[in-house]
Amino acid sequence: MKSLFLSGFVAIILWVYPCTLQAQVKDSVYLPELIILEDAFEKVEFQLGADIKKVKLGSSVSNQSLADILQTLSPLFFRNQGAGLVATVSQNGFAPHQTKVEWNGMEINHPMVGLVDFSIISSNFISEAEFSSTYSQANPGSMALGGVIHLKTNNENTSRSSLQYEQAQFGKYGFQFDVSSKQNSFVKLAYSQAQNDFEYYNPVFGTREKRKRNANQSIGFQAGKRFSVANKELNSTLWLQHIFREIPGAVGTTASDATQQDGWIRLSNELVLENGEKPWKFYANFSVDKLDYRDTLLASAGSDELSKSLSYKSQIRTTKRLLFSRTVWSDFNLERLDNWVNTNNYDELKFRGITRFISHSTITVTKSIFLYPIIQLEHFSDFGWALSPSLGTSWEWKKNRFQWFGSISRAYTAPSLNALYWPTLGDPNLKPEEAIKLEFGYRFKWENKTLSVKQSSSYLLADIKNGIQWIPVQSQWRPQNILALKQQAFTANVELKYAVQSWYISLVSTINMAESIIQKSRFEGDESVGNTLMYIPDIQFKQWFQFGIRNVQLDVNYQRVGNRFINLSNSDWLDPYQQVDVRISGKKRFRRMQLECGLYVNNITDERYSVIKGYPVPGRITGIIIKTTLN
Amino acid sequence: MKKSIIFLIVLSVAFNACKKDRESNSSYADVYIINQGIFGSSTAEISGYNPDEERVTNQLFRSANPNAELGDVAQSSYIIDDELYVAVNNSHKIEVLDAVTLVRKRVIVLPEGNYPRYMVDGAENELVVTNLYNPNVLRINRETGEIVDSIKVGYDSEGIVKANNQLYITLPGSWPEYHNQVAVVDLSDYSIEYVNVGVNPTRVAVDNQQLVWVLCIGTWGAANASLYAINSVTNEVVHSASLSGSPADFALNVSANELYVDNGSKLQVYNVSSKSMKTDSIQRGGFYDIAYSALENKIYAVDPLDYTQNGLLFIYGTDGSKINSDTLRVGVIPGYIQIQ
Repeated sequence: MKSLFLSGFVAIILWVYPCTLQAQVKDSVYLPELIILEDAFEKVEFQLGADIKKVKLGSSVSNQSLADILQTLSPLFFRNQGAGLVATVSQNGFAPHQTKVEWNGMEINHPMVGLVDFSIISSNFISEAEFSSTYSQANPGSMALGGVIHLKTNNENTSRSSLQYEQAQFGKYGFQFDVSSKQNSFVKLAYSQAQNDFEYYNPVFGTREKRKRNANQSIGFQAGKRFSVANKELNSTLWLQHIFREIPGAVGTTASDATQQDGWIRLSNELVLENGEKPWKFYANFSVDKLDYRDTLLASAGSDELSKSLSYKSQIRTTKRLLFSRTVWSDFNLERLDNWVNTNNYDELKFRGITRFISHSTITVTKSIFLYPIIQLEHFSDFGWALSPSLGTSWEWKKNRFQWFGSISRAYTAPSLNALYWPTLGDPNLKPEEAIKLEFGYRFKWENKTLSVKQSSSYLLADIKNGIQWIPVQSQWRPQNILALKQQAFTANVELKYAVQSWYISLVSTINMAESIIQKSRFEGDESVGNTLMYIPDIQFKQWFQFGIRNVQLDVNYQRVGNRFINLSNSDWLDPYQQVDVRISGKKRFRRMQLECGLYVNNITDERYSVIKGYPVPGRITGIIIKTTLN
Repeated sequence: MKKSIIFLIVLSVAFNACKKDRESNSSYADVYIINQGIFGSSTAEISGYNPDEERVTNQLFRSANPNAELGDVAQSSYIIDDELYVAVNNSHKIEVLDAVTLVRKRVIVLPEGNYPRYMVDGAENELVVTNLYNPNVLRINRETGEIVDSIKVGYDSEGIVKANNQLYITLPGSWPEYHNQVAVVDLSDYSIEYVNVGVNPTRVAVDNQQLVWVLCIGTWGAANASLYAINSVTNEVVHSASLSGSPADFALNVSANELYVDNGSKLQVYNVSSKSMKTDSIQRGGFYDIAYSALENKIYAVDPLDYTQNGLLFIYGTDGSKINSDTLRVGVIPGYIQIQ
């Protein structure tokens, strides 16, 4: 009833809203998500020694979490506990806490657990996601053992306003309101909620039942402004978010009454002091993150019913190109990052400060061969000095057509604060996890007026030492630096686009194979040597097909995710699953307004599977999206 | 380019074809090992050991019940007639299986807030089940699965045995305030009497003198573990002894009057006749569960290793000599040994 009322309310707004604004309508493409391989041939930059991929998210993308979208459109794998629940990233087999995640240059990994829950990041607020398992321009090594994912919110210089409403099965609905202006400012407001009360088979009790206590609710606000003062440019973005959700627990386990509230205030500032051949930028980023978890089961086990925390972060960074010549140019970064965590789980306020110096250069060896040396020197308040160098190279074998690339790098990740300080269990003597990583591959492209073909492949090899694993020590689970791992991953992409006057067709295919093999015995009787870690799919194959004619567009996404072992003996696993999502959308222009409508059916074959054992996902889901745009 | 596309197509087809198949297992075994599985993931399973073949067979439950799962944290089992009852702690249920084929016969789902631990057959057609995080011991009709009544013992309950038409139920309480009593429940009228023992009583067993032996594992790090014997006629403590170390479990050999105590790094032998420690260490300790097979006169012990891979089963003679020559891999977190 409540959702029906809201649907009616939004429908009225959709009707009235266009009449209140005076503007011209511009063309926009519905659901414009694309995998774009970094165009190496046009962008001679530092990261070309690595396999870097990017997903661009359009302004009218549906109200999905970032985890759902990237799982479909990128080679990344998300350990997704089902609709509305925790989803952490595993990039090329690395653990979630080993991948650094940044938003507008600000590190957003939660300092207590060291990872990011992508299920609570709404795709409405992200313009693009760029990821690499080796190094990248901004942060080549530290806290990025498994690579970096850069999330960006762009301030587009357009005058536009839009209102979008989405409704789907299982009590899901949401709306998004955007306004942007040519005065370089924008405001976004997004709200969504879902009951996620889908039906599933419970094999523990042998019954069909509905998922209970699985609701979530999210509201977010984002505003950005680009200021120009005395030839200096300041680009600021503010992001406020609050998420409430119920945590139902795994199927067949004790029903949980747990709830979780996440929220944050994030402010990113980029000040461009100089442009041109020797750009100089200054960044000042700040955030406050809340994470509260309430569970009466914790109280019955003798702990506090409520686990609550506030994390504060301050990041100041300057980047300047100090050297620029025809054959060599070098950028230098100086950064200070401070983290404070106040939680009832620790005995006192915990702090970690990092001072970071990075230099990265491009050296032209010949017209077609480049070297990319990077030096990163850091000081951690709790771990002292650390050096993370890397060297990349690229060779343009066929000009504008074919390029080889490769890199070798050292990286490490300091233990999370929970691993260090969790009451009675954390070990303050833990060492950082370290890795030597080698990556090589190639990129190819060919295009004419109507057809474009891009293809790339890469192989990654990583040797990890001091990997942290929680194991029982004298009956208590404690973290230890005992894992020695060898990781391998192969990724290949093909992108085909064909467009003539009124229609276009696009096909993107990605395959990713990863394994993380235990190298050394950790104790007597350890049979896991030679086995792979848990929840790393042996293969992922994803295919995205898009066909458009005039104002109608069809999208078909297919993904197949392979076996995931669920114990270290590799004696049990989750079977592969495949999913097909179909969307059809159309748009119609009425003078000053453009109306877009879309219908989607996710998991059209009604495949029943779990990404994580005990956490079912919904079967087939149908939804609609209506959007009006004016400018 | 063309080659790359062909390569991708071949890979795609190849990986679709290489789906793993799980082995199909026969379910006959003399010893069942109840594997808890990784907490929170509903991966409990049952392994079987056949002494004649000296072979372990894993995933017996799944083989017998392809579309079912045993659940989360299978804590213990109990055999009544031809039925195997498995208490699945974190799934708050009792799984009732055919004791030979392990085919599911019925599921007794308990109300939320009940965490079944150990079981014994009660009066008439009842199953009595101890309960974690709950002050009530449950009386369940074995056929209908209905809770007939609950026995209000006041604390978390753990071990349970029957002697002289009475139930002896250990009441360890829970961290950080452990308790120190055994509840004695008269099966004729369900009246309750409490007997004081050491801190944190867990395991319990009855010897051939009808003495009820209670292992009190004490508080972690406090060195206050102890062993108690209760006369089941008078319900008085007739013996108590301090135990050094950190005992976790014991197993009673009735015919030899020996109690095998898994105590930290040692497997000790305690003589229940002389009420004294017979041998300080006949083998390594540190197991997750031990059991004595009267039929074979052997001690079975399980080690969960790192709790994320398949654990190990060890078989020892009563002198501590290791009998199994091959490495015996059972399921993940083997936590209870059921001797048939």
